[in-house]
Amino acid sequence: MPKYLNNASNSASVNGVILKPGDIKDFPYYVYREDIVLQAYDEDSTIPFSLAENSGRHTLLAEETVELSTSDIISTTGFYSRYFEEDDIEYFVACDSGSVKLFFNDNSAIYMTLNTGMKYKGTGLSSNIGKITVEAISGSDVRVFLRKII
Amino acid sequence: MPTYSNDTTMQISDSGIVFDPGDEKAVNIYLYNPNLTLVSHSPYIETIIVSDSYSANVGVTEEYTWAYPEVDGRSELEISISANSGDIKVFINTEDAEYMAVNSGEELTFNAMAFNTNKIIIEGSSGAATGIINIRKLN
Repeated sequence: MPKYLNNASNSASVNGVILKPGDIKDFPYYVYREDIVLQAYDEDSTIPFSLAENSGRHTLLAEETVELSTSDIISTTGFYSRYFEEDDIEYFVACDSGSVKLFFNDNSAIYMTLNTGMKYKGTGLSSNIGKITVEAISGSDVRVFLRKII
Repeated sequence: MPTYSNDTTMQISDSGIVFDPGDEKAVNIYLYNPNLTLVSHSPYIETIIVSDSYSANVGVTEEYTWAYPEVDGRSELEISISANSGDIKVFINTEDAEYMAVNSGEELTFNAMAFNTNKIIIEGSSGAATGIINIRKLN
């Protein structure tokens, strides 16, 4: 987690966590307060991450797939958890060459087709979208990401 | 922060800020109270966090971050990155395996929350990548 130093001469309360002067404590989110200073990441640090595994560029052979799962990025432990109330994830697929199918939640029977030059970007609720899959219809170059907004 | 004065003869309370008669105060939000007079927009509420031209060859990174008092824990940011030449990778918080890929001639725009996003890293992935990054605080 990001670690913060209380660089002030007085104790500080950050979202209910007390930091005495000179204290360094972990937080599961970034903090923006006067004299509360972000420390360099170390081997114990868990850096908040927003992009699901497999976000990036891929070259696919026909029928090869790329899968991105919301369970990689959504957690119920965050202080600011607000999901189920507003769109909390964003997904993006660009087909730079070839053609691909995009489908949701492992339901390959219902899909969208993207041909060369097409892009599709959307937002949604992680309560509705657990996974997106991009499957190549023919050899394809694709860019994809699945991102946590909140 | 804008500066307001209370030119009336009564005490005015708005958004938890109390103005006695004759008070002139710099505040950290705009107030829309007909009994208060906007004296000045200064000291300014900054909404532009970053506006920069980047240049990143393959494997070379440019980093952009933000800190107090530019944002607070509930701030939402609008991040816009164009790739005028070359392709780029855009990482969030740290340079790891996952990234958003932007091709030459494209623009990537997305909103992010400051509590889970503290840094944007741009890495050139083909050619000599150049472009513009703008980061604006929405609230």
